[in-house]
Amino acid sequence: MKKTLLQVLLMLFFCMSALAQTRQLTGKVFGKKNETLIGVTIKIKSTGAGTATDMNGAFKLNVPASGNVTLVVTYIGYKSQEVAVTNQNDIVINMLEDEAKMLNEVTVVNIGYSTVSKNALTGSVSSVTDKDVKDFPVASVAEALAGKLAGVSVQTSEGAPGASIKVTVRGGGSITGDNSPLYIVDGIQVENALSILSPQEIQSIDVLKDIASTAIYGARGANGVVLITTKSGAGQTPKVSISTYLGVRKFVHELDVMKPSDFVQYQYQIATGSQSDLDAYNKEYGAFSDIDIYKNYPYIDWQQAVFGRNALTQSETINISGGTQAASYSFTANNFKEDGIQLNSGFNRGFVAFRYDTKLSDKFKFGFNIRYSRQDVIGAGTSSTGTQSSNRLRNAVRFRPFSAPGLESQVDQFDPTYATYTNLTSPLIGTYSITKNNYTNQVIGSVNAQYTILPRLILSSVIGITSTDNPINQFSDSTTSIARQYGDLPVVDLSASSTLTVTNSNTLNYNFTVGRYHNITLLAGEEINQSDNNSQAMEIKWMPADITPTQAFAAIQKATPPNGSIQDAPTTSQTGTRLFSLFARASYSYKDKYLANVTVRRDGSSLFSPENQYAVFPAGQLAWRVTEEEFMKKLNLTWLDNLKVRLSYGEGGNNRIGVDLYKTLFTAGSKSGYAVSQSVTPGFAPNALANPNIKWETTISRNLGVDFDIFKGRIGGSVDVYKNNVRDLLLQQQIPSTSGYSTQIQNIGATSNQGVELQLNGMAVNTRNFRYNINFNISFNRNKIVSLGDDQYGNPKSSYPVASGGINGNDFIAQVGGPVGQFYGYVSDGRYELSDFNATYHSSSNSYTYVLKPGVANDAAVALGAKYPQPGDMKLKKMSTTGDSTLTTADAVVLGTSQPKFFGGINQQFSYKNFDLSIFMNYSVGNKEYNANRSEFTTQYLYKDNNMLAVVANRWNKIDANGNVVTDPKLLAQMNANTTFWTPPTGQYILTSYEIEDGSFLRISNVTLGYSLPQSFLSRTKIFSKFRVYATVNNLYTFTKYSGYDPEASTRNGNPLTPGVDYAAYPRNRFFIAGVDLSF
Amino acid sequence: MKTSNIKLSVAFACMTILTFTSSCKKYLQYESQSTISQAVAFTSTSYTNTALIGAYSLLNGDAGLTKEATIWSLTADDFKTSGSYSALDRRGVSMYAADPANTELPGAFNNLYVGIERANICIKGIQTSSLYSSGPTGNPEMGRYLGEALALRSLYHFVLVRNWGSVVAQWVPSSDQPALDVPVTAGTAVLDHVLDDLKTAEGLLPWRSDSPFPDTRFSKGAVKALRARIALFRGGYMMDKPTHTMTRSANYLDYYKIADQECADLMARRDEHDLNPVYENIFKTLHSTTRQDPTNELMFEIGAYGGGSYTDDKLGYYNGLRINTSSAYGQGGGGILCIPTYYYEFDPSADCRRDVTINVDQIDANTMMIMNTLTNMTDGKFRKSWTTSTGINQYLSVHWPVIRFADVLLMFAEAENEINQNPTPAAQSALLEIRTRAYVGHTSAIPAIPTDYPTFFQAIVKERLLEFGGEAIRKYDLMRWNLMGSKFAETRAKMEALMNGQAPYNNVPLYVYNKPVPYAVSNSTQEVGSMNNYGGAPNTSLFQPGLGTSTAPTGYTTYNWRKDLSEAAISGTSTGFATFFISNQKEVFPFPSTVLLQNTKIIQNYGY
Repeated sequence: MKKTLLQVLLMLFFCMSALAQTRQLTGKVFGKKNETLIGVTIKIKSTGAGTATDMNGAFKLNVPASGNVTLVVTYIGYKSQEVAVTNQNDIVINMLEDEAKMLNEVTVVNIGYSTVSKNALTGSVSSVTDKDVKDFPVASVAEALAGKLAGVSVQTSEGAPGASIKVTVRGGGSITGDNSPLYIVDGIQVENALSILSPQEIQSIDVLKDIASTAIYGARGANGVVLITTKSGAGQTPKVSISTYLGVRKFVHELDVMKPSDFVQYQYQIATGSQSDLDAYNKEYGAFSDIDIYKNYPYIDWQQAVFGRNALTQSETINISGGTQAASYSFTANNFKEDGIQLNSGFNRGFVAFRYDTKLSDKFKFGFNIRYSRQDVIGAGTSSTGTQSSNRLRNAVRFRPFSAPGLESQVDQFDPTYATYTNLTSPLIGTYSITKNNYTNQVIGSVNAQYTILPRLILSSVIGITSTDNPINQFSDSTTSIARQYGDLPVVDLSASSTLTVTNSNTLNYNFTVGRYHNITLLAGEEINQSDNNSQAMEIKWMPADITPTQAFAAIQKATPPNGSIQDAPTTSQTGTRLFSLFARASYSYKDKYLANVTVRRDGSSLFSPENQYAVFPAGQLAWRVTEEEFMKKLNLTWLDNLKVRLSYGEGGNNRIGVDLYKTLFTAGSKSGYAVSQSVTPGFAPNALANPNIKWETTISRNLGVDFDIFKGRIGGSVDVYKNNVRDLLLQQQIPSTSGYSTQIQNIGATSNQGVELQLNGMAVNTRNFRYNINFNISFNRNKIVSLGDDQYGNPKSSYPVASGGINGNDFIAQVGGPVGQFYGYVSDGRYELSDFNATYHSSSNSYTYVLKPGVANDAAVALGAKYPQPGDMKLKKMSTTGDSTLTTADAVVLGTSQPKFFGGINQQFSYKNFDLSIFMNYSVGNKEYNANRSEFTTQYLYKDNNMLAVVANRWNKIDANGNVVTDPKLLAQMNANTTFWTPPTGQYILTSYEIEDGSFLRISNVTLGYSLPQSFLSRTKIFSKFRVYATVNNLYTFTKYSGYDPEASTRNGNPLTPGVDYAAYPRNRFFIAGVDLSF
Repeated sequence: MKTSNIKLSVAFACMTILTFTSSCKKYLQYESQSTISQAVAFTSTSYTNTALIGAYSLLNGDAGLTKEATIWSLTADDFKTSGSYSALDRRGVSMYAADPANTELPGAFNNLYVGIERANICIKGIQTSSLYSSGPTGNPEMGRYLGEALALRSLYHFVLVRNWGSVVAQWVPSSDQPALDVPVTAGTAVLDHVLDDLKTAEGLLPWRSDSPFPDTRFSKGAVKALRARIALFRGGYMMDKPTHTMTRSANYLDYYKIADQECADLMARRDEHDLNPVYENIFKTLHSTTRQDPTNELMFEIGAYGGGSYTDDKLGYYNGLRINTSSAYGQGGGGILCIPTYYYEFDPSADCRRDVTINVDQIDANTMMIMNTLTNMTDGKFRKSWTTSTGINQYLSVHWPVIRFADVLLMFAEAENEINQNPTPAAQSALLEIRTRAYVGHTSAIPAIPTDYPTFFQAIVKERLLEFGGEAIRKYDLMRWNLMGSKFAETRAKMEALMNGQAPYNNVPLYVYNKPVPYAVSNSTQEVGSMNNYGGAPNTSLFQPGLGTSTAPTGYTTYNWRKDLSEAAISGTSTGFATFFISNQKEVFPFPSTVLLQNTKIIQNYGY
């Protein structure tokens, strides 16, 4: 296999040597005011070879030495025209302005394995081009894409450098599988391409949204297909573009926490529970009578200390492109360096990319792409899907907000005793306690060739290889909880995974016309896709106490296990997938009026047993260009330029599922080992109770769309309505544990997504000096779980609980009839007021005791750590009708979902003379955000000496001015006339409606103001063809009611069932940038 | 275009298409080299061994058999679990009132079934393997592995039966089962199947001396001893699920005969297994790499190593000698407490087993040996100080003794007495053997060996208490004799007498006074003898009334002795002795609620 590839590559390189006979044509292009036009594209119609005009509006082009040539001349804002060249050597071309075309610059749309003009498009496709992302000085395209495409949700999980970005097309249908779309870059599959590529590399992005469009990608198409075309070289003279910017990131929004005085008051209140706690309090904070001194203590803002730095980012990109009549090239190199706002975090990346396209003859085209990138995400961040204590935001929020004599050492040095009883380490020590480097080194290479067998019969082949290495080094110093499990000695985790993906597709495309009006295009193709993954991991414990991270990574053999202990064995594993597909597409158009498209793809996958290996995915599309009808033309509707109605139906599969689910395998490991003697003999364990009947998850989609252009192209847009049903969803079915297994994966689930999308583009003002362009999109999606399989009695299962992990237990529910990702918990009812109790006076102790009045809900078991409710305790609503007024788990209810009612973006671009301004906003309305930080930061649970959110300062007060505990109801009523918050509960963290907030937002995500030096000035410099300076603010402001750092945070993205959790998310930043783009 | 280019490009296209399509069927068969299909595994003896190790794996770890050893097997009249009652934790188990949601039950319950499944896969795999087509004669190695797999499956089923009564029986891999939610099978039927399997296993396994493996894996002797134990359990009283009463099969003597025969076979091979002349050395052997068991009294141990929650255990850290965190050894022991009257069951001056079995002492922060109070003595067969581990390490690689030769002798004595309704001379001699070792150096003090059936039976009941304390044997002995209710009542009455200083406890002091002495590991009798109690070493000071005041003589610290025992510790609902036990009900545990949820055909055990 490898050998074959090599041979093919060698052969293709060899082919490049041949070139044809040409002569040189020169010319000049003028605009409507008779000015010279720079950067006009001139192409030879028959071959596609071309060039662009230079700063004098002149061009040189090699044309065939003999015969007539037709040139196609295109320029933004002008009608493209064809110019016939006979035997002239020098020509003059005058361009004619065309407003209608201005909005339809993306006239060619990639539909997978071929492109069509926008007019001929029959499916639902959203596109952006380089100009939509170029103003975003960000590391990855994905960041620039949020809100730009109707029906495509782009969500950054948190603010950390290199944070994962979730892209979902039309809601996503799988519950257990991955809902990421398929990414195809220049014809080959590249995982997470949007997160890898930088905006500067992008030529265009087309997102196929309806399954009828993605059906050409069959088994991989159910989650949408993102087709990315990278920039290719153009023009004849080499052009060098340099783009560089420098920016600073700032912490935007802080969580308001208690100040020193409130903190100590609170500590006193929780210490009054027992004498030993009071003694501890007195030792730590002094006598209550002296509590006033804390009013003057300087407040230490730990969040500022950890996240408050001016985090610099710099980026330099250089692009060199050019070509000859027969060949073009483009070379890009980038260096990007970002400091995270959190100390000890950052992101570095460098890449070089080279693209070469050549036309060896009229019949044979050939090109290749190669890209090498290297990135390093630094820092372990703040969130973790592990336990509560592995989430590290806590230290910066909860650490004692002041320093006091005798306590300095807890700030500067690690104090294990303090860590044990507070669950805290000093924020600064905590931030530096883990050193993590997450490297990704990647090579993406592809070769493509096109051969015109007959004038209308074209054979195309693409071979692509993606090789990714992902080593992760992590060092946990002796203050971390893992080190404390292993003798207070540092722990090193080294892991590495590598993936090699090979794609090859070969297609035949035949286009012909029957009679005068029947145009038919046939495509047949074959594709293979294979991926091989290797991974290894080792954890080395008991490193020397004082070793530095770099020393530790360099010499793990320095670890010395204590007597009787051994290191865990290193692990390696290997997985792989194979996909073989055959596909065909027939497109038919009659007079460009009636369009039809039929696709069928047959996929075979190694993920399934030989009996279930193959599946066929059919699709059909119809479109009717109403405005082409004679009767419409007769109506003479001058305002209506174009109207097209589209209808489609298709089936797609989702093969983003685990490997080997269908067969029972043994995996070896020391966890399944046994100590026969003084060592552990590894043993085999069955990986799961395999289900040999596993088959494809299938999505059926229907789409109805309308495209229109009105008012001479001033306004264009499209509306799409769709309904997607997914059946045979793979779910882990609970099975009797007496089988030796707890679950088995089965095709038992079903979901549906339906929605409406609207995309509008408008040219509000278009004068010579001032232009104002506005793009708007809005998407509505309703997602629903239709089936979760049967329960143990054979009845349809209605729901099952899901834990997001880290806090609050089972805080989600997967429920038939509800959307994926419903928050599940108790309904907050404020706090117990005195009126909820009958107070009894005890003269012996001169105190009152309180008993709940009959019928008042008692949440002791679920919320208060089994302590009987007292006035001021957190109160929850009784929701179920069963049982008495005692709350149980049956009283948990659905509290909302993070799925928005609608979301989208508004993009405005202005230009005035040489100034340009763009303002981009994205929004989401009706989504709830689960602020899990609130749970942790308002609940006492087991821990004293922890700070809390500022709201806790206004809690139920039971301590009088002398530090005595008050039980008299009259006094308590007076003391709490103005307090609003409850006593922080001592029970386990639980999810209540208090943590569920409105997550709607309108974000001004990008504002850019640029100035380009005038062309007249530039032409005098004789060096520069473009010189633009700009200033940008990313994430300028977010309008939201959400109280946490950011309403878009979603730190539990690994499981599709637990979106919208803001737990210990790394805060988002505001990013100020100044940059220069220049070309010469 | 040049012809060569055309040729090349056509060749290019053809080649790629051909390369990838011609072998498409094969192309889609991907086998990861990290995993191995089960069918392939059993075509290699080495892989078969690895698969078998996977079935052994469930013996140890946090959810392994030490769960039964240190939690489920308590309380009996020897030991109980420390702490205060909660229906949801280990004390709920020990107080005989575990809730179906008790957290100590489901993990190890499921683990046993994981072990059964893995053993079943091995059994089927070996039986259908091409290597085993001509049976054990053709491939004795595969035969031995089959024997081990059968023994493991039997052990796992036995543990389930003696703790839950009737359980779901699994004799084939789950993938071959048409339905997984099946009702329980009567414990008697499960054990009949197990006894047959073990008979087969015996034939397949070599004696210890012919086996390449240590006694952490099954040998013929271990299987025979295990079969004897299971036969006695089968021949005893078992929970009958439909009537929820403890009943004994009419043909129970047949099972005693099985046990009798197995024990006789073993006793005829003293070259393979025999009593260790030094009682204490059996348990020291479990703690270290230095084996002090030359006679191989330990017939089957659960291996422990690796310091993790899958292959190691917390014996000596969770239970055993209480050692202060700040001592030279680091924290150890304290999870299991001695029933106060158990201390006084032993002959105080002659029986060497007492100071091995019970820690009257504990180790303080300065690594000094000090006294415990009466209700805080711990189980002595597990001691962190016997291991080489120090510091905070919780996993000490201490092996668990499943069965040892002393049990064979006592089972034999019991079976002979039962079958003949009279102690045969062989039975008497077996009991005497046990006592002779226990009374080493004091053989003149050995009590007379009874000569009639009931007295001899009573002697066996007592001897097993003294011999096997803290080895997770007592509760199940009482269960099969149906003596749980009466022995618990008897123990409570004794505790009352002890609390009140009534005979035979009239000389037991209210308080003891102790001075710390340096702790140096030697033998337990010597160690305890070196303790500095006012009025003499424990053997003296704990058997005379002493000063009777809480004020200690100068230099001594007072420890409550009789004073420490209160009504709360006898019949209280928080720290009482087996307070919630109800006969014909609480002998077995409730099925964990999660198990009932997924298997609706299992009905919860009566009384839960």
